[in-house]
Amino acid sequence: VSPKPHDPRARALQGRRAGLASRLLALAVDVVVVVLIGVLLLVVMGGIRALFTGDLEVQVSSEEVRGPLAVLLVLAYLGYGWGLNGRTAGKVALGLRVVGHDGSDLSPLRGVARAVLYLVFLPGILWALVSRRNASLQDLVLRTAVIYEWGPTVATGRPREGPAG
Amino acid sequence: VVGSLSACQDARDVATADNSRAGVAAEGGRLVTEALTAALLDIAEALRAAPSDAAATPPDRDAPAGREAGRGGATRSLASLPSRAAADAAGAIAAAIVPAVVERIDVNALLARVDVDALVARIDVDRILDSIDPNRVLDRVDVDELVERVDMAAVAREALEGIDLGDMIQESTASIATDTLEAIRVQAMRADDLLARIVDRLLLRRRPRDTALARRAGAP
Repeated sequence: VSPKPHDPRARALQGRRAGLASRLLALAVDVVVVVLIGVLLLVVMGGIRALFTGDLEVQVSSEEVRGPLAVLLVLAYLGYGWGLNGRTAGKVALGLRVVGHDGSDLSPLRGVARAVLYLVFLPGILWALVSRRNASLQDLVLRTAVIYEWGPTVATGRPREGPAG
Repeated sequence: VVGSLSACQDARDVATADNSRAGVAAEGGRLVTEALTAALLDIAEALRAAPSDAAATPPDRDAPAGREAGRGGATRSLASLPSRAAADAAGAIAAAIVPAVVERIDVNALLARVDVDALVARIDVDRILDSIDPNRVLDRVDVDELVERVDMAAVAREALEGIDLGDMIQESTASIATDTLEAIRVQAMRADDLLARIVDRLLLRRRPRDTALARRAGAP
């Protein structure tokens, strides 16, 4: 991942609030990554089960188990990414970062809360198209922002709360 | 002359035979010198006598051509006898002298006296090169046979050993990945801007969006 953009306009936009296109693309990458992680987990669990039964079966048996597991996975993925350093895989790919409205790092709790809000009402992200500050509904509720930040060295220029990561 | 030459030959044989023994070599050299001196004196005598013989019987230009031609030819062959003997003697002497002289020459000392740089400077390399026709030279080269004689596998192996292929692939791959990622990000930024401007125009907004983060209280 390039720490600094060569494009002068992209360099000028570092630390600014990102628009909807970048965020949707990052979300698409995240969806792919979550699905891949889910498949990988199913294969691993199937393999472990096969050690005892001798029959390799990847499918999760009941619907009741599958739903909560998927939710848990998404929450863990998004909450971990945003709560740790504001970046999920999709945001790393698109050079984005989730921060507090003043550029501070999100606490893990705030990261998980943001993930819950996205799970509950994903279309809320579309508000960024209309918002004067490119804010989604979740951003407005939790006072967060998504900014362009291609590398760790290109920050907002402000000290961050909490442990750097 | 012949007697002198045979003496000279004997002396040279003695010199050559005794050459292995350093003490006698000097004696052999002296003998050669004496024999050569005697031979040269004889030759000089013969050459002195030759012109006077030839001058004693000059061809008679007023005589009838047929008869005089026969007489004049005989006179010339008689006159050329001493010079022919001299030429034979000179040849024999040269044959006798050259090996002895060559043996005594210190080639290194000779070469030390040669200014090789000056010699080389006198050579016009461009002119030599201009006179060479590369096509003719190449026509005489059997390229197929040349290639067959080259161990291509060994050459390729050596070349590959010199190139760190792994590093090269890694660097180029990383570079391509970085460039691609940057291009995608820049395109996404442009799409962000485009979407925002379209929406703002539809909403009849005149001011651009406020994308800067709020300044934190107490921050510089």
